[in-house]
Amino acid sequence: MGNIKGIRIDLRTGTQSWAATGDKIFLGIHGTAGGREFRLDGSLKLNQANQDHRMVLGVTCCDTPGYQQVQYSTALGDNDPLLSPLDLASVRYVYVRKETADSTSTNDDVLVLNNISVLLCDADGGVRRFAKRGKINFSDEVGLQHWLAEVDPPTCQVTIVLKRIRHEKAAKHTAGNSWAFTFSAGPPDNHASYLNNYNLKEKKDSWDKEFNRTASWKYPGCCGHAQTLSIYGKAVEDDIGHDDVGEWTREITAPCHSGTSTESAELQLSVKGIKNHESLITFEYDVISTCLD
Amino acid sequence: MANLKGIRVSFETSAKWWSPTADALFLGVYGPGGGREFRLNGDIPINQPDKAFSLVLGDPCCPTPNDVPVQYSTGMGDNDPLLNPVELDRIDHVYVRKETADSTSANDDVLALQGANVLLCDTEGRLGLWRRDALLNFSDEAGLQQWLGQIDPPTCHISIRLTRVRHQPSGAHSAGRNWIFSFSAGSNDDYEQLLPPYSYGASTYKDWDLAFDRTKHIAVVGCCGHPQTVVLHGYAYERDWWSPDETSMDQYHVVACEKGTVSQSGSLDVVVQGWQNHQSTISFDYDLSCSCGD
Repeated sequence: MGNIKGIRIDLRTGTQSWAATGDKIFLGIHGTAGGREFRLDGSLKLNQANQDHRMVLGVTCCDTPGYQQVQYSTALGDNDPLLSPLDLASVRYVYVRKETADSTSTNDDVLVLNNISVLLCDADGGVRRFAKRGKINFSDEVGLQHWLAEVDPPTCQVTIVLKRIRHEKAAKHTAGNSWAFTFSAGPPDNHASYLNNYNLKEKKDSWDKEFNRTASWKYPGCCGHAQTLSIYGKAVEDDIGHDDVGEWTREITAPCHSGTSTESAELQLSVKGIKNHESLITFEYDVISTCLD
Repeated sequence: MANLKGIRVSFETSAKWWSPTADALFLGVYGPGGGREFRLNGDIPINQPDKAFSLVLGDPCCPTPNDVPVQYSTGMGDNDPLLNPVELDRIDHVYVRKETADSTSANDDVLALQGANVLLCDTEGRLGLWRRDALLNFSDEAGLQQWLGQIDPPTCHISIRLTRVRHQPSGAHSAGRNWIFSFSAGSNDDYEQLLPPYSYGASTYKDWDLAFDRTKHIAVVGCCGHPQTVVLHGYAYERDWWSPDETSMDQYHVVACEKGTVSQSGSLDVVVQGWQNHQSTISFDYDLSCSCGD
């Protein structure tokens, strides 16, 4: 992971009439490589109860529109995360702290949050998220600082479904009737095996066999970053003299937009036997990507 | 994966006349799983030097008669540890922090403590203990926050020592002379064979005894004063050529694990019935000592 370049904060003030505050609010991020506090409400006031606040420090984290820039947090300003570089992987603690106006209970302006989420993004595409829910009270009566727990970051889940295998005659005769199929899919370094020399005998010229086998992979990161995977198919027709083989590898792309998208596709192999013997084997599959921001 | 449900903060103000404070005092607990601050002295004045305080939040573990509940700390009040759940196992920092009255040195009311203890417990009864044994000065001149170190939680240390195995005929005749016996002891979670199967060919059918010195130590995390159960298991077998006579016996010895060391002795009797009126009692004599430290 690289240095934190963007911080996105989503919070909602409590429903109590006194949930908003005029006091100073700080975000603290620290860990094994150091850390710092950032002032959150320099120009953005948390002065309304029961309201969502969306803030960003540094560059936009996960390119989400509609966030208000925290004061001095760009162009190496004093609140820019890149001013004092901090490796995202080294972060262990994220907290929110309120100051009292003058450290007296009399002038303590309580803040209550219903929830808060802090998304940290680095320059290499790494993302981590810290959050807290419930009645989060910052006040002189009950404490002025809350630490957040790490939760799942935005993640794209890619699922590839092998739906069926079809056979068609592609010449005067088929390549044969005694088949073995292999199918795998996934990231190049983490292929999942769906079929491994799956044997099937079928005398018809045209047939199809349903499978509906699935495997999934998770990619932590901002939604909208396409992921590249590959699929591999192999069909072997068992002949006495020699096997008739067809195999193919194809690179595929999962879009990983926010929400869910499904694309249906086919991998078609030609399996040639002697003279006029040839079959077309088609692997039908779906690529489903679901990204939750 | 259990959440913090109770906290006991105990400390003693130092003997200096200026050691108590009227400023706000906070406890912070946090780790990778989150955390928060709690106000400690909302309605509990820390207003005397050389005085012990035991402040509790939520449903504290190991309660003492001197415990004083912190304001708003029960019934999901704003100081209740269960209001913003945090897993005990993921807490790796505990601190005490004082505020100055108005962030000026002029109005800073110093606090001096003779150490501090923070005992945390979760909804499954597990404990975490944090301590600082030193003079702790909270002031504008010297710093306003002190972190505590994690130490072993209250633990009952129990030693079980097998000292002797005795034989007595308990019927008209002894069950025999060719013996195998064994003895095990421990807690339900930590059980061990102190004496593996031991063969002994006695020269007499009457009384005999053998001395042993086999010890098992167990450590059970828990509040001092809570009774702990020691599980004992004795086995005796007299080898007859026409029929083996064997018996085993379990016994539970409950010890009150108080501060300081308590020693007790006991005996586990295994009655071995032989043919007709042939019967023997094999007695395993043991010493138990236990002490609890928090």
